[in-house]
Amino acid sequence: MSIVKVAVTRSYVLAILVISLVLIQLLVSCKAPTEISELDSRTNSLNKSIMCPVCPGESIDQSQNELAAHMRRIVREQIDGGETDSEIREYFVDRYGPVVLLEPPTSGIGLIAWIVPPVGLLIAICSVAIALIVMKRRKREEVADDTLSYSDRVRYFKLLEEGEGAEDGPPGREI
Amino acid sequence: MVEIGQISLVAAFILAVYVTVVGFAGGVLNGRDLVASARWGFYSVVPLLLIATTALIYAFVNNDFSVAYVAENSNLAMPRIYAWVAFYSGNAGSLLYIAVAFSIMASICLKVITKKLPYTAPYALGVMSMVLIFFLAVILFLANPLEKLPVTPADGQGINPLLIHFGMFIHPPFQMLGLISVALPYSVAVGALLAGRGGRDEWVDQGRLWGMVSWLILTVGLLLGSWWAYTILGWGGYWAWDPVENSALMPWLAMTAFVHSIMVQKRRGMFRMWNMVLVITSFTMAQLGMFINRGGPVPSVHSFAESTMGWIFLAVMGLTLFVSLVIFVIRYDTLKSRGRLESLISREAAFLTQNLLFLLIAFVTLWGTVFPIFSEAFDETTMTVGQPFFNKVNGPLILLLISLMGVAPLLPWRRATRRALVRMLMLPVVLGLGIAAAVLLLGITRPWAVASFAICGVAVSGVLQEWGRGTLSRHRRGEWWPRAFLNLLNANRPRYGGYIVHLAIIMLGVGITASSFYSVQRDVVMKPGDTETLGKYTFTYVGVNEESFADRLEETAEFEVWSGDKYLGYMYPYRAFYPEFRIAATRGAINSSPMEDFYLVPSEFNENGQAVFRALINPMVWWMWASCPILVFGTLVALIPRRRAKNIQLGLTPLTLSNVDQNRSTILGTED
Repeated sequence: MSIVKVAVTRSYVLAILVISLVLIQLLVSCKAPTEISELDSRTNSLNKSIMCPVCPGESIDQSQNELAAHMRRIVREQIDGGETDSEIREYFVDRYGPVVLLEPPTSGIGLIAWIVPPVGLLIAICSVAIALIVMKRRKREEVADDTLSYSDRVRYFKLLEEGEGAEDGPPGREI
Repeated sequence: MVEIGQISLVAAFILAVYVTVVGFAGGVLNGRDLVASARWGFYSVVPLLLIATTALIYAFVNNDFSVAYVAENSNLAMPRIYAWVAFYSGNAGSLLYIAVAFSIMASICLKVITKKLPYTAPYALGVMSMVLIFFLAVILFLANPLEKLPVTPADGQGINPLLIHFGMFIHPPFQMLGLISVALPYSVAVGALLAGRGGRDEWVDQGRLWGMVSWLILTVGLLLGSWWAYTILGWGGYWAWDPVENSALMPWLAMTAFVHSIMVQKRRGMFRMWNMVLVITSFTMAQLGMFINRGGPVPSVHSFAESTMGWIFLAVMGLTLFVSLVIFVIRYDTLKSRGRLESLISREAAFLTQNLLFLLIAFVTLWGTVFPIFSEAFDETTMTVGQPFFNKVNGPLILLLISLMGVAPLLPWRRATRRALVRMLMLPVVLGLGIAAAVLLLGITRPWAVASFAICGVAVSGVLQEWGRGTLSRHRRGEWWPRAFLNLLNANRPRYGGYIVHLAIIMLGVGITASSFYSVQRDVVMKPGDTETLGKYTFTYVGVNEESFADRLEETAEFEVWSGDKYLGYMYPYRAFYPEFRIAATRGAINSSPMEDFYLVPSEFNENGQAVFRALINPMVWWMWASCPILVFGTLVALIPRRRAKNIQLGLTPLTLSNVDQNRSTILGTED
């Protein structure tokens, strides 16, 4: 209850009011996104997943090349002929090899491409956890905390007297 | 003129070698005169390289085709204005551009750090001049743009027609400058390490300053590149996860991690090793970017500066990485952390998580970029890793990053109590949910898009809450509203400037989300007089106008366009065919508004008067380009230095030799 009380202060009411007004204004000026037919969007997403063999890296959707235009027509014909997405992709793979697909297959060696990113995420999460555990376990005395330790302070003033610290700024920021 | 340029290049190279030797020697021997000599040597490289560049530009402007590089990259038919910038369109000239731009930036950096970090500067100078030596050596011995041909041809081969665009004046120089500017924070950091002062946090301010300068240039370069792709390449998109694009993105990601994480060292004396790792990673990635752009192993649509010397860049990258790591290991013991992580719910931990996410995205991008080589080597199958792959793996990671961007700035240093956490997060989360509900009501139902908008909402309201609170409390103390807000920004510029940048990034995020999930397109075949529709737009093909130029044939289509009942006027998409290159460049006509862009682009004109056009509606792309000036402004706000605070934490009088004793008793206090 007390938490709720803290939250609902005057500043909150004010902030919510202002932001809601902006939001309402935005909503009024907005409109639903334009939708196109299921058929068109299927064609587009297929085109975007197939590479134009003569213009490396570009999809047939993106490329201005004649071959790409020809392949777009084939995609459309096959969709009209009732082929499924994977059958159409297979059709191009049979002719040009797996290189024609813009994403590696989820089988064979292509699977490795897909596995590495989530494994990386896992490793990243683990390293944050480990850093936290290790640094928490470290005793307070081992780190000099916010202020310099006694010996460091003595060293600091020694350096200062030697004129070194004065020129290059103090060795620590928060003395 | 060309000969004078050649001589200046050789002189600059010899000077750079001298500077490296004398600079390091001055650092080791602590010789002021040596260091000063090296420094002035470095400054004098600038005019020498400017002379060489002027010579090259002069050759371009005067059509001096006796210079091999000019003959390869220019011709008489090229629009004259481009003669001034064509010098960086090829491999050799762009190297010269990089060398001269770097020498100027590095000189400014050197001037500043000489004053602020006198012990580090000689070593940083040595590192900078080694970077310069590398570029000058490549220019002199492998790709000299001023080399003469035995016979002078009557006309040159001409510039790649895709480069004939206003973007040519701004994007390539920014992008190359961005990649090489990563060498500045690298030099400062490695210089501090070499001087044995890496563990002291004195280099942090300068590292942050030059890191942010570099970050800003990289960011603007990337945005300009996207804008250029969107307006000229004519497929209606702005980012294709092409290897060259990726190679420019990776150093940006590492640099973004660095400019955040350096703040932790500044405030809490932590992450000292980590920051070194980040700065070394950034520089390695920047070198990798140059390698991929100059004839790397992966085919790309825009390797304009392609050459056979990519492998030299790779070798030098490996060497730099190795030497940096050796220095790092030798100085390892100076980099012990002063503070410690106390809780997962703290700003420090959020920064760490954010850093790892940035590096992870960079790594995944690198992985996708090199995977084709990998699969070919091990399995003998050539595979392509393109846009769909990157969208699927990087999309969620970027979303995670944006949610962190919303929450992290609200967390306090050290640790947060549960109560404070609820207090800070209540409003942003409620508003985030509100936005999710609102977009659902609008008919935006794709889960990733809804999540993205909601997360952007959380991030925006987090920033607004911070600003609102600060302004309110200042207002209560009697400051006039706008004045209170400006004073707030001014009170902690790194923080509030950072928030402005965050807002710009959210604009970018909203634009990218809307346009990648809700872009619609249609290919239409039209004869003059035909009318077609896409969404609420109605467009009538009036006809085509052919015009012949020395180097190209332009076919400009004329359209009349309505949005609903509203007449939008004429639009002129065009296609230019360059017979010498057998390249067609199309340029879309764009009717842009904050809500959506209506984009028309021709793909082919047939003999029988029929033509094929692509019409697209790209929602909210406008926001992406609008974010750029805001982002620059925010970064500048965060960058403006503050007057040095003098030991105010303990209320000490400024430290000087004369009052050391007084301060000593204050600090040492009871322990004395």
